[in-house]
Amino acid sequence: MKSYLILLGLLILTAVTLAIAITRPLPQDATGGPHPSHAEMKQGGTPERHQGKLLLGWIYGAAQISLFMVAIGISIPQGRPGRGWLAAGALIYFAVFSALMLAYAQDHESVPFILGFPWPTAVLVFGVWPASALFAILYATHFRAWIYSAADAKRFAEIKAQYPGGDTHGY
Amino acid sequence: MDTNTIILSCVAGYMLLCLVIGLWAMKRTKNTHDFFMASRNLGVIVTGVALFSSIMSGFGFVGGPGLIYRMGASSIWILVTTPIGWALAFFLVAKRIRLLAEQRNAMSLPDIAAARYESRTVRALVAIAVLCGVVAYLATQIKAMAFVLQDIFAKNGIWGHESVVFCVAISCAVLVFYCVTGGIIASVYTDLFQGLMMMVVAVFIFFTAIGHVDRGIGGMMQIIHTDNAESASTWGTLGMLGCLSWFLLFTLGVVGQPHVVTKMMMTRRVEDARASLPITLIGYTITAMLWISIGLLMRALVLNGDHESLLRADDAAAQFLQYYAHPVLAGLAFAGLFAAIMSTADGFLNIGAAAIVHDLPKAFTGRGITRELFWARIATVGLAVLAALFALQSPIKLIGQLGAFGWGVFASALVPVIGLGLNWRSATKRAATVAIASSLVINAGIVIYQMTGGAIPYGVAGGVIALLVSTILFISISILSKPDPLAADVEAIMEL
Repeated sequence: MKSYLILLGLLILTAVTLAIAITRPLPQDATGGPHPSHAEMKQGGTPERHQGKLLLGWIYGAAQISLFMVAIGISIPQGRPGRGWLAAGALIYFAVFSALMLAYAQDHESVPFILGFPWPTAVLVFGVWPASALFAILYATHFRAWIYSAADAKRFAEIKAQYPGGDTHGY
Repeated sequence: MDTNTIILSCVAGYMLLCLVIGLWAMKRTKNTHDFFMASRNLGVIVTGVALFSSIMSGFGFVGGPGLIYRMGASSIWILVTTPIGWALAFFLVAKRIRLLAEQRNAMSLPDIAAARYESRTVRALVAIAVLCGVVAYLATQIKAMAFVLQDIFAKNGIWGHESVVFCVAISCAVLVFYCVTGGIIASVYTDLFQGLMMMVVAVFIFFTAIGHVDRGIGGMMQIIHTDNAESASTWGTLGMLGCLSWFLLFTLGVVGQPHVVTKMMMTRRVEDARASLPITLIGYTITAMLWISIGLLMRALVLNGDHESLLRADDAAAQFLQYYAHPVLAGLAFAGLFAAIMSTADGFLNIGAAAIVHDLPKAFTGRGITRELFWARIATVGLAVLAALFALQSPIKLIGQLGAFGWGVFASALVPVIGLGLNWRSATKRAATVAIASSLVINAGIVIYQMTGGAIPYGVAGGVIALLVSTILFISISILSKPDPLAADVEAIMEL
């Protein structure tokens, strides 16, 4: 129950942050504008469109990441070993997302290019993207400890034997 | 042989192979369990590839490059969400849905929902949510197939090229043939072939695309950045709130995609999920290279004056293939495009047919129908015809909105009810009923609002609002209600 209260709190935080953000005055180029030369292309305007909203954006993104982490946490039955790895993964994910927000908040005039991308986009492509793959790796490496142990398989065989055809009640 | 003939030959060859797989699968389809669940006998590789190819639809192959052309770096957010989205789907759903499917001999997602909540109302609502999303999504996929085929026919001067109806008929005929004859077995094995083909094509296209601009991706980004720094930056043209809303919707959304989670019920062993996830993720990441490379290249070439402005952003992939790819690669890519569309559409046809012949009768009468396999095949044809008519009669703007409606309904209805409900003993049937009903109402309301000229500020996706509301309602009502009694076997499985 406690995990679901946390989950509910995070969902409400996400919803409230979104509500506050979208009810703020809308800059003209909030979602970009038409490109002056190419009809089907848009331009992003200036970084000023995000002025005063970056902290809100960080809270919105961080609440979502927390939501994903708690959701993964509740899928792993209580008392399974090695949950520290999940916490470490979550910390890395938070750190990379925060680095992305910081990179974007810095000087926009002289953005360095890293591995072919402007620095903030490089953090997205080479930081956030691989960091999110970390949880897929954890799933595969901790499958026996977290997801389906030999004891689980044995217990499932017992359930099948105990309720052949299912305890359906007509459903 | 000229380029157009090569393209036509590749597409024709591909379609022929789908028909052959359909006939092969027909011999292995003896009953409804084979038709809907592939006898729960899929291996690791088949499942892994079928999962990613089900979700990399025409939207990824056509819409993805188009999004980068139109919005710059914004659409990279959709790709970035995928690994964590897949991980969440496996963590929350894969094990328990597979165990419940085996214990209850379940054939559909509504079967699982009915077993979990012991409620015919929940079964009916899940089936209705699946059907609403399926028809909306199928219509978008069929229209995409018809447009591509029309273009190929027009370039080859083939009779009927001016008729969208003709192209819809051809596309649907192939799709329906293998889905009707071989059911989900044909669907997953064509998915396997389609997925492998998409991966090969994506790798070749990536290297072709980066060879067209000095310094490859770096050169493309420099051109885009010079034109407008924001377009190349983290949020692209869409802006921060729009991108972060995609982050939420596309991450959690994977958990609620019925054509994806249903395939998790079909594996030979529970343990297969362990290897399927990396296969799925690698496949999706490789095909995403096509999305990024074509989109960035076409935007950079047009900005640099090396290519004419596109009349439609969604032409980015087609124009690239026509002007910059080797004819054989273009032919394989067009076949890959059909593969992407069909591999999504076949899954939808199958779960839609299950909702009609298996779940709705059980929800309303408490028992199944006789000759279910026969009626499943009829329902598959009927559903395809309905979606085709829908695609033909609807304005293009509505088709785009319906695609978003489909994803939004699946995410907001099924993430709480299936994703959380399979993990939380205290989730109640009342909460599930309210969550699904609210998701249908909110998503439909947003489509109507947007069709009448309304827009959500900051480019926030409507599905995000529906997802947040339905999930908050689901958890709140469950916390405030007295827990329902559960079937003993379901309760025992939920403790694993």
